[in-house]
Amino acid sequence: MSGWQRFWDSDVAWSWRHSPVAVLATIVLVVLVVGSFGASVIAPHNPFDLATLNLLDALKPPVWEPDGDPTYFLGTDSQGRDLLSAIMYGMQVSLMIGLASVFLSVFLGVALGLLAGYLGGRTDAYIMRVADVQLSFPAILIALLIDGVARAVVPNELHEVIAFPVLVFAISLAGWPQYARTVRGSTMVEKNREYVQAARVIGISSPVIMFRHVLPNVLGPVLVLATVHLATAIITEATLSFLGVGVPPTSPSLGTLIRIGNDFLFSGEWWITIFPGMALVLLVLSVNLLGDWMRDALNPRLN
Amino acid sequence: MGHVLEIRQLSVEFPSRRGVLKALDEVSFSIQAGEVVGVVGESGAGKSLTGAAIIGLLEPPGRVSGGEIWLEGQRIDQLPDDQMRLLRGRKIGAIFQDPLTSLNPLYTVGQQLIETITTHLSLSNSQAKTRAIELLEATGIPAARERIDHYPHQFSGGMRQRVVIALALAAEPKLIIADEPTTALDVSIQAQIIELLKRLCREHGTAVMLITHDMGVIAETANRVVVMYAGRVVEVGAVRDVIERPQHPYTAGLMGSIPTIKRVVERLVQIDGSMPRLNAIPSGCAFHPRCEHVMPICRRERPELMVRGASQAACWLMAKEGTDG
Amino acid sequence: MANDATPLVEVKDAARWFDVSAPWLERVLSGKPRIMLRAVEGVSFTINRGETLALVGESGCGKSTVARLLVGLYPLTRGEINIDGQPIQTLKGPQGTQLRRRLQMIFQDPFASLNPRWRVGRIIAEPLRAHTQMTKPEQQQRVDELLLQVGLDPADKQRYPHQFSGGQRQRISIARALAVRPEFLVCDEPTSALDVSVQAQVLNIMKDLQRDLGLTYLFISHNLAVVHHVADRVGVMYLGRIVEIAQRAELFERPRHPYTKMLLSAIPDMDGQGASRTPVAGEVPNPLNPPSGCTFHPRCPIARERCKEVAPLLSEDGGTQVACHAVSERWTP
Repeated sequence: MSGWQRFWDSDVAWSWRHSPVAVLATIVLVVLVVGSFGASVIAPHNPFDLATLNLLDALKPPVWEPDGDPTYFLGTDSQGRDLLSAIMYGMQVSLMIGLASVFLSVFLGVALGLLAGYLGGRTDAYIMRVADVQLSFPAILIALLIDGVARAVVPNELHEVIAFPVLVFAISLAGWPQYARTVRGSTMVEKNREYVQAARVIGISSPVIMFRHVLPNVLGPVLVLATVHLATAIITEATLSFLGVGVPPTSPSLGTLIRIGNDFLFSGEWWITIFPGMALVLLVLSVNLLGDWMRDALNPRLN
Repeated sequence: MGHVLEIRQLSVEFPSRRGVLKALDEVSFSIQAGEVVGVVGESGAGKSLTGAAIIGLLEPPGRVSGGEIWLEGQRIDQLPDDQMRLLRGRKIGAIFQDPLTSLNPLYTVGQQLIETITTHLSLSNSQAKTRAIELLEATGIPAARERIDHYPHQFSGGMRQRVVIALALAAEPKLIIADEPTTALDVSIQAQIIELLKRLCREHGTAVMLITHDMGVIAETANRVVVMYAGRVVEVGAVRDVIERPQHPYTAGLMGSIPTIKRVVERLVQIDGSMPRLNAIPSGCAFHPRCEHVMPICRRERPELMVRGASQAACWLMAKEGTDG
Repeated sequence: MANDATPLVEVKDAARWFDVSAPWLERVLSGKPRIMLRAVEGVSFTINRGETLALVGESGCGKSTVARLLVGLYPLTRGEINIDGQPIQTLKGPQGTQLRRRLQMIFQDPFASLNPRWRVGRIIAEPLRAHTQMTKPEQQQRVDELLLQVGLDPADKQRYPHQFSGGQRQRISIARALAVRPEFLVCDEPTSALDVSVQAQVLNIMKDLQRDLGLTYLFISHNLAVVHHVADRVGVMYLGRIVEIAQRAELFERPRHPYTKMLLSAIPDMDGQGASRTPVAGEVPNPLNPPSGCTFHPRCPIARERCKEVAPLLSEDGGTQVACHAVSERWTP
């Protein structure tokens, strides 16, 4: 049996096939991901190419409304930018930041959790105290703090350049403790299991035991956490961008779009904020639903 | 009919995504009042499942798919939940392997005993308390009057198991199902608990179904023994007969593979292979792939329990060698 | 290196204490003292080459701790352990690998002693990678050899542990332990978690291997019948000490220590007739607060005042060593 066949036949794949929610969420997610990362190829317009913008096309409503224009399927904003394309590019930014933050969080959290759990003693105490302290601050606050400090410290010209890394760093910093805690707990359990003791009797060194023996066995819950965390990271970035301290305006994310559109909400051009909002909700919802399914599917059951 | 418990052709199934697994396949035996019947087998043989089916505590999706369970002349396998609940405790008492999880850690021992007593017997609270203290004393717990107000964690492992026994006997059941009651205990405590169980059941005339993988415990405690393999009964008989003159090849192999202090052997009897998984039970006789006496009929047809002397064994060798004795 | 006549393993007054005190801050604030759990308290024995010494006892007697002391999983609190003349502390130093090749361990839980995420081939080859310079093909060949030796199929090296039964996993553990051709195997309840017929298979293999490879075993168990089957000499432990140590036949036929006698009479045996016996009185005391003097005295039918005050030492009694005042001072009943 090939690897793919074995996977398809496994309990996890079976559970996915039989969960309409999971299948739907996956399809939606795939569509969104393809749409966003393939934006430069698929999008009908390039909203950031100033040369293609036409101010006369500004504030056009979606195509099904009386004044709608088929070239601008979901309408345009105050600058004449096509909303559909803007959403696609915006989602790309949101996803990239979300994925990068989660990746960094996982890396940091798993490494620290592993060290804390395996070495115990003072190392454990220090790492966990730092994690505890951090967990008592809301993620947004931490992100704002780091962002604020970065802006104050770094000269203005470089703000745009560092915006992305700082944002990713800020969001990951808010997220690593939960991975560290989970991995630490699992590590402490695995550390006392006989296969680790067997490795010690054979004479394998601690770092090798940690990474080759223990790590593969504690990663399970991390996957579930990461999926859910992705949704949180995207929302956090959206919130920050909405507040104006997230991504620079030249590469707007969904959050930025929502903010820009917010000003027009009550003057009748509702589509400028609603559609990016719906796109954000769709993205986060499908990620969350997939994460929910995964948590149950990967849960070892008695049968 | 004199039987406290009678099981006829009991079958239990587990629907799973790979098909329906037959965990118990037409199991039949009976227990008389005052008798201790040992149900012995290795892991996966279905002995615990039999006990669970009788008490009505099969974990879904497992369900009884055939056969009948009769308790004191009343059929109980099809009773609705609320009636089954009344039966549990009143007519059937249960003792499980882990005394730590059998008792509720949040209530005192006395509270749990009194609750059981008042649920099943019409006694007032103070009468129930007196009875509870008597029960604790009967199970050998010192200073019962004080200890009745203690919590489970304040007792040691062996003491806790005694409390569990007291709880099982509280409502004067006719049948006790004990599932590996001594496996989690130290050897010296095991002996104490076995003695206790034997004595109490003799005094009260309670029938006992003793489920265990430990033949030594069966030898010391039981009158008759039921040997199970892959969800089926392969041999039934008096304990000494089954141990000294096993009729079924599996039983013979089992007896030979158990080390004993009384003899020195160079090699233990080894039955090659292992018990089949539920989704791969062989056709005909479930034991035939591992049997050194296998015959063509064994692969085709499943043998019924056949009488040979004082025991019964489900083996085609019985039929070959002659009629019942 | 010592010659063949000296024992392979020598343990002298080994002790292992565990600090089970409350955390530092709590202790300081509430003035509680340090609490030490004396899991092993002054244990001495030797094991000769090719011999099987069994250590038997109930839960909390310290036999598993002794096993772990012998392979260096725990450091000694006191005393000495010498493997072929080399102190156990060598394991930590630069000569450590040399010594490690000569001793290995087999654990009780067949499900936890193999890494569930590794393939069987990799599990068995791990000691080879750690201790030898064998090339990949050489390692594979050795793995095949080992699998056959324990009665499994070389094709099994591609599979994962969860695809095997308990008995088969224990055989994989044995294969792994034998990979670098050790001389001494510490077996911590290797068959306790197995069904009886599977246990028979594993015990038979272990005996065959001992004969074919000249192995020395330290066999830990709580099951006296199994011990009777495998051991040459038997040590009985109670609350961290050895109370009796003797040749197998001698221990079972003429036990000296009251605890040994009670243990032997308490085992439910298949050939027992179900006759009523006096079971052992009481329960194993809390190891954190052991009785004074001879720790067995509260449960001992022949205890006297002396037993409450002075802990007896192991003394010779015709080939057997017993730690009991009644025996060493020849009290008349």
